[in-house]
Amino acid sequence: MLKHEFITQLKRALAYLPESERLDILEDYEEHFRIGTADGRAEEEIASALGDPRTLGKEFTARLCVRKAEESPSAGGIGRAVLATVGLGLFNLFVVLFPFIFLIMMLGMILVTGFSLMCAGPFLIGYAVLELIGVILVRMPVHPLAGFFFGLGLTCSGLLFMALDAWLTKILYRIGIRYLHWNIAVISGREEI
Amino acid sequence: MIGSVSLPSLKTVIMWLFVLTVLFFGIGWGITLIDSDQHTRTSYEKHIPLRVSADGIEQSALSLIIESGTLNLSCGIPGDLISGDIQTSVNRNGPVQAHEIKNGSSIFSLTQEKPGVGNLFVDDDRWNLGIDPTIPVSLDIRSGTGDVRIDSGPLNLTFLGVRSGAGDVFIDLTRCHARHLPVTIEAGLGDTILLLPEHSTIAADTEVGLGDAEVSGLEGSDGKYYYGSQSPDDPVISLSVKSGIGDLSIRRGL
Repeated sequence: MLKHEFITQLKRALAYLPESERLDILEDYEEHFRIGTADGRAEEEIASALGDPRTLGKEFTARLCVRKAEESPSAGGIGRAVLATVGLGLFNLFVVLFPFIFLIMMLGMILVTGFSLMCAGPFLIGYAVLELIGVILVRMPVHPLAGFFFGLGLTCSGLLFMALDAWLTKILYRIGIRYLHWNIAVISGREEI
Repeated sequence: MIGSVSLPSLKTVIMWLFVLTVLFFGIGWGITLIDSDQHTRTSYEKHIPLRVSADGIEQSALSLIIESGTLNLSCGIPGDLISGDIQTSVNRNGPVQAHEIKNGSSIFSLTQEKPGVGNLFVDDDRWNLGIDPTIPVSLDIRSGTGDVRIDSGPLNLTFLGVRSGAGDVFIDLTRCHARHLPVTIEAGLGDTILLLPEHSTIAADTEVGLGDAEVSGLEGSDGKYYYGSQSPDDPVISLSVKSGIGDLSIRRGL
């Protein structure tokens, strides 16, 4: 592969990167070719030593997405970072995407549980109050005053679940970003497993 | 910091919520324990006696509609068209009765009360009823959720219809002596068990959606079964059973 073809393919693979970032990377690789040819090496040899430009493009894109997700945490940011990392190899489907989906589902379940408990609490409180003042004649299985406190407990436990979910999300987000950095480094051969 | 108000950290919020949760549940449990020493609320039960005289009734069409609860039906006392006891865990007046008698024919219906406003708790009535065995009775039962158990004994049934939403259906007709008895059963979710008299002519048409069908003492296959009695005096039973989800068991004799 000649320099022109390499640079064209790399440029195409870096299409999702911001202009300045893309130009910097392309400049670096052109520099590699300039130094290599000055040393008397053939363009094909240099291109072969640099690697596949499409794979390089994917790595740069993944690295940028992870960095962005780290700098400004958001659900969309981490989603894009995960997808970009998954694009680096089929293996990442099992070690990145599936664990990510599992964690999302786990956090979602905790959130739904918390929300349900939080909503159930006021119902029980209202019911207990109505029974206490004699509006509802149907008896609760427990004393209405106990029902009132159980309702408060349910609301607090629901809020507790939701707060724990937020705390867990923050921790898992940080761990996830570190893991993605490590994963990209391992795939690009810069770090040993 | 929002304006001059500083928000507590997430860890502080979690800690306070944990303390409050334990505290409120603790108070609730405490009150429940103290309350249970005074009277047992969970075993609250109301018994409603039921007795409808059979005076002047030569035949009857009975309709029993129970949304939620268990129905135990058996042979009652001669002289009482229907009698028994209704146990309810809900403080209400009991089922709604409607009774009309014309020229010796009576139409009687017993319908479970509608749940009161704000009734979050499931009614769990138990209807333990008996029917006068001397009066020819056409019996129609509709059950929402809960088991239906019928021990016909020597009841003088002219028709038996059971529609059950969710719950087991158990019908013992082994002592049935009706001349001809059409039986229609539609069960949504739950097992259905039918015991039929040993000496009787039986034609059964069955449909089972999801579940096993076990038929013993009858001949046939693919949902159509038959047994012909040797004696013309034996009862003739025409059976139609539709079961949605659940096993179906039909046995002739014991």
